[in-house]
Amino acid sequence: METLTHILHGFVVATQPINLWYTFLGVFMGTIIGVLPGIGPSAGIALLIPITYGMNPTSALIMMAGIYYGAKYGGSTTAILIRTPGEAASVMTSIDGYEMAKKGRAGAALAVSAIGSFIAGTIGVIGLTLFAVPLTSMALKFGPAEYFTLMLFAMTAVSTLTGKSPAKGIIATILGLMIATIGIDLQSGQARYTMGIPEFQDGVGFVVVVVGLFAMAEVLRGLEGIYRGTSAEAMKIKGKLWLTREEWRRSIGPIWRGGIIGFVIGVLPGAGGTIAAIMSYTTEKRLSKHPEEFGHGAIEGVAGPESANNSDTAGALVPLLTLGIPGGGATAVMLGAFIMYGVQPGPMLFQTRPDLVWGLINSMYIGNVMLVVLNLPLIGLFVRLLYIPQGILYPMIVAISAIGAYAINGSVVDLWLILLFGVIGYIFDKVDIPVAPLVLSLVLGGMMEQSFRQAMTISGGELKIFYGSAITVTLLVMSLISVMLPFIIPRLRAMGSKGDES
Amino acid sequence: MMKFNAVVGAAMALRRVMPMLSIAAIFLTATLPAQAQVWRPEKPIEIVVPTTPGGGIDRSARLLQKIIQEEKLSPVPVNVTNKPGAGGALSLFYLNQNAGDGHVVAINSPNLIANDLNGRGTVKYREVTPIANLFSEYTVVAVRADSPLKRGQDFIDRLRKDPQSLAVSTPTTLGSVNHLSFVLVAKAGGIDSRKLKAVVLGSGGDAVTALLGGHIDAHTGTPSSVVRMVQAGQIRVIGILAPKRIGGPYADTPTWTEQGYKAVMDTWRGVIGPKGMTAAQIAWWDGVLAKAVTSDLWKQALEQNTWEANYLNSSQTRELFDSEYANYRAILGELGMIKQSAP
Repeated sequence: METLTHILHGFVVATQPINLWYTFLGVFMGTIIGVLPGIGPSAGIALLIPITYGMNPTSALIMMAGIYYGAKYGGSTTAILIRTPGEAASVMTSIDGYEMAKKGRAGAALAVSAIGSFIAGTIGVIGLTLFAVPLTSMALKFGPAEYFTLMLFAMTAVSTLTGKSPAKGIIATILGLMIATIGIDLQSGQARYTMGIPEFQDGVGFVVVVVGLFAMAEVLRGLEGIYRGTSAEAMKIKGKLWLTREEWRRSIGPIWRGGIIGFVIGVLPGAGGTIAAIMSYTTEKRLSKHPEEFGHGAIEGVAGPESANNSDTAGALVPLLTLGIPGGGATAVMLGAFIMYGVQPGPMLFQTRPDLVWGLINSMYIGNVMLVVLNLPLIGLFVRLLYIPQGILYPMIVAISAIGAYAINGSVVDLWLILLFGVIGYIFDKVDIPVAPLVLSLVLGGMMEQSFRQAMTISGGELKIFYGSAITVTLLVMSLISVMLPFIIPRLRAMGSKGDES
Repeated sequence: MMKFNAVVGAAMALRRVMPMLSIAAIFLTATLPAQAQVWRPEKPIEIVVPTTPGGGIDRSARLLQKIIQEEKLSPVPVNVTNKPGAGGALSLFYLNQNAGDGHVVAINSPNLIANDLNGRGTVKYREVTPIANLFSEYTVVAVRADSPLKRGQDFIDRLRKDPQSLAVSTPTTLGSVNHLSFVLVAKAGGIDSRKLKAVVLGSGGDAVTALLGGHIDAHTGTPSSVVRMVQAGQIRVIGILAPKRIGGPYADTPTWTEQGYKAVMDTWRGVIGPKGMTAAQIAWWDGVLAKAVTSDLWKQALEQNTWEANYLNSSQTRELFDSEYANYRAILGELGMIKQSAP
């Protein structure tokens, strides 16, 4: 009952005019940060910290949270329109979202992103409201062995991302794993494959690879088209900007599944929105009756991941608020802000500062409404980007990509890398090697290797650590089933059809 | 042509005036030697941060920026630039591109010296100008509240029986100050440091999660990395690697030295300048930073972040670097982790 009083009081806090203003300011800046590739929510929040000195901590944190989840709304815009993910977590959106835009359905893709983000974001906040405290213990149960099995399970999805040729899928996967090993190995402190370039000590940035593979490769393809005179007409918007009834029907399932997947993955520190988006994508492809449409503009491939990466932000606040543990870059910066205001996140926070906790959480319901109201009218404006002549559009994509890649670390090496990966992406396209397995193995590879070796160090080299807990066993079984599915399903279908005949 | 003549004319005039100016300068220098050597910044100051925005190091830089501006310690504005990467090596490279310039300084940490020894850095610690040490963060050894390891002695006893019996997290890489702390404590207890089970779990935050979840036995890190859990009664610090007890939430926490194991490790944070700074430039910074650390804002931040006040001026900081270099060299040498090209 006491908690209910706190929650209701939180709404009073969140609806104070000053806090409504900061919610709006946060989500508005978040949208802009999301649209710009490279500048992520963590950098955005960090740069705001000095300005918030002396502000009321509740208002300041409401604004920072607004930037965090607001950025996930904006991230899809460039992914869909110019194949440049504005945010790492929008990488999957740039596959089917851009294909939809090519077919003239950019409006629908943007609309489903905004609506999916709104519904899933709200699912996430409801999860945060109801389960924040009970879920705390779940996050703690995940140690190195559990993370390894989780990554293994996610990795088995690679088969669903592979195109017709398994060999080509394996080439992409292994290249991704190889890139993931570049940098200082944490467990030994040794540099691997850094080739004497100091910038490589921290590894090759995910966003840099993705911007190269998607945006730059697209520019190179476009240039080839112009050179040969075979370039397609400017993408015309076909039909209305809104979803058709059929598109809407196909999106509902992915949105609520993505909302749940995103929240659960978000609660686990370290996993993050990109993994949530990938898991949602592969789940939808598996459940789909027409998996062959994925990669060619399936709306499920936009609705699912965009929903997942949004509810992930609410999930990520669970360990931050209840344990004082940041699950990723943006929440780490928020933790720094908490400390600066003299507020101690952690188990005691819900008792000592219920006004702040519930004011913050409840502001997210309001912020999500603001975001969908803010973003839907923008669709009409954004789709006009598509009418820009190619001679202007392609240099613009190059400029946006370069600024975005440079903004991450202020490193010129990253500019060469987007060019290199642009060429790789172009070649991949020519020889029909899928890019998605590379993206997946790059995201998962580093963490999978490190958690495997952490677990082996802890257990003293005993493999039994991987079947020692209920979580690891469950994940191992799920991985096994996932690997077997492609072999089992056709047989089941065959048996089913035989049954029909007889 | 007119223009050219005018320029020549001006130059000629200057040439005539120059001797007089030099005489005046010599006169001034002779009578006011102290003032003649005064250096003052003439363009905006830049504080370089070796990490991404948001962490403790970044916060200390932005705080310094705020204090210098609000207390009007500098006649010019102060900017903060983040140059993250390669454990701070990229920020040092950037810093030394401004050799001899008193306007560009950087926040630094023990990585400056560790990277010099493990061959990761390109700039040697002697190739930068020490300006100040700002504060200290003495490493703590932490366990979960319900751990059977109650005191430092229990920790040593377990390791003596079997050096492999405890999995201890040492963020953020092997050879880091936290790893050296673990080794130092073990060595003080006469344990073979090469047999220890040090595991790196990514960031300090990840390590604390793993400690709370019972996946590891102990964690080494800064006092601030566990302070919230200590206050909530979920984590216990069994020993701090400080010369004497630190205050605040750790007032009751014994040091390793008072428990009979002499081990001190300090994650210090200071300010360095590029190579080739003049004595006058260093003197200006000595004056500014000595004032900055007496401000209320600074003292308040120290308390909030569990940072220990430990201001050292430029010459004391030089001594700190030299003695720390010798310390790290000894430990890393025993671990076989020195990878230094000939100096």
